Amino acid sequence: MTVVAVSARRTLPRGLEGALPFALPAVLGAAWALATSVGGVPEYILPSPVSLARTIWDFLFGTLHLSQYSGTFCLHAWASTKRVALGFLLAAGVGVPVGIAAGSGRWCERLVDPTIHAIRAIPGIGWLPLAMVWFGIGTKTTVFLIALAAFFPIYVNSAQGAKHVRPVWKRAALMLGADRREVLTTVVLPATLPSIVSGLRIGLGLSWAYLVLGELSGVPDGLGAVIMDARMMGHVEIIIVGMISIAVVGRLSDRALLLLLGRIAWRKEMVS
Amino acid sequence: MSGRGCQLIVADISKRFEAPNPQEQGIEALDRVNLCVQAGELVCLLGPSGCGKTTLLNIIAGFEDPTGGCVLVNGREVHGPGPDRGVAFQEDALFPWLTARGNVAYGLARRSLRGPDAKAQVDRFLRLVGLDGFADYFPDQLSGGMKQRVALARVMINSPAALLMDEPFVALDAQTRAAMQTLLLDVWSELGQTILFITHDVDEALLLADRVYVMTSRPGTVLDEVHVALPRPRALETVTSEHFLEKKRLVLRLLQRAINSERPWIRKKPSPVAVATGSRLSRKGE
Repeated sequence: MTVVAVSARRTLPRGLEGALPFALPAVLGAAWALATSVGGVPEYILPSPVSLARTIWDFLFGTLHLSQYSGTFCLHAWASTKRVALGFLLAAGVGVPVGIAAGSGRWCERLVDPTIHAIRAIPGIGWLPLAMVWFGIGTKTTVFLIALAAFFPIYVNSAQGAKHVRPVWKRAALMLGADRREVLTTVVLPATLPSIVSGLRIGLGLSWAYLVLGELSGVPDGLGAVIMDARMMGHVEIIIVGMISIAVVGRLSDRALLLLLGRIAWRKEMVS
Repeated sequence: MSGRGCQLIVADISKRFEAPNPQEQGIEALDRVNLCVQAGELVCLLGPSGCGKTTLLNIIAGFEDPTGGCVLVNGREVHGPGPDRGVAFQEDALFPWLTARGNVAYGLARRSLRGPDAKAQVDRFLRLVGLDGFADYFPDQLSGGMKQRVALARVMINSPAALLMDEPFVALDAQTRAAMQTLLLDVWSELGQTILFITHDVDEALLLADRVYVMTSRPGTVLDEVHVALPRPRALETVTSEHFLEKKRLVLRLLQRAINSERPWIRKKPSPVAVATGSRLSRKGE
């Protein structure tokens, strides 16, 4: 038994160790290529890697003229980014101040916290029909859903962070001559910043998820609209390209947010 | 002891913590504490743990309200915390989002003092506590002793009427602690600030203080005061002098009475520790 255990823990050669993360994608990619060539999986179920790559190229630059989506990536990505930015800024603009107020003042917490948590229990998707009644089909509904979904993690994290600011920091500020406003701006705010950053990141991630939901309801442009439109037109390769686009743009927006927050972060770990 | 010339007066301070459940009895933490610190004096408050030393300091600092009595700074009653009473906390209370320089400059910035003059003053105080060269380090890059030096500089730069120190060196190792005590004496002799220093360490109290107040166990009150009257400047060797040991025996006897006052049954049946200390004291001291 012992011999088996020791041999099982033998370390891999150095070169192989570094290649390990790429092993699974390589196997999956090979399986995909095989399935679409010799496997006989038709293009309208799963496009081949080569045709997907061509579609991505065409979606980005439009030089191949494969479909009506040729070269429209920037247009749709920009439309989606605007909606996400607007909804996310609304959520952050309300979530951060209300969260800090609830976390640092007892009466404020008792006033808003139970209600917010009660509303939070409703799944975001559950708002879609009501949002369509209120705002119609289109950008307003999308922005509303994004703002609503992103608000909760931003609020909850800001409130938690503000609640757990060490009391000795507030006392230190007071005995050094700070007034109540300065305690808020020079102690509570920087001390809560790590929690605010994680709340904003989760909120931004959710924003992209709810962007798709909002755009599925029927808007002319946007990456979610492209996916829904392509399904109806039977362009499965465009559906996949749309999904990849959302992943890439979402990831880029997270990096951009971190870059922005990195300018005010006082600890490098907060934004790494 | 008269109140004349006192920069900090603690008059009849009592503090009772009410139990959350009204059926239960509250806790009498402090019972009519009186003390005074004269301008430029370094006074230690010595007492067994749990005697309400920190509660008293919190009341003087204005973090808590007393149930009775009042605190006077320069003859004016104080309410709430303010920069006239600087505090060096027992725990690490530096702002981790500011550098050492930022922490020391915090009090100046609250008075809108920025610019080259303020910077020069911050540099002076960092130098005073031996931290020139560490100005741009963040607290989590500094050792425990260095953090307490920053904490000291950050209150001293405000020139508080009273500097309150709550066992600031208790978490440090023995060598660092000795170094910090020497540093405090050096800085104090240079700046001449008025200091109330809380400790449970007899050697520390006698090494630092002009006078030592001995507090009883809960409910805490001042049992007696001891004039140390050891020559200055003092160094660590001071603790081996005959005069020091004489004062130490006196304070230890007071402390023993202070502890017994909490638990009267000890008088009838002393604990082995009390017997051992007591017998040694009576042999050496009388």
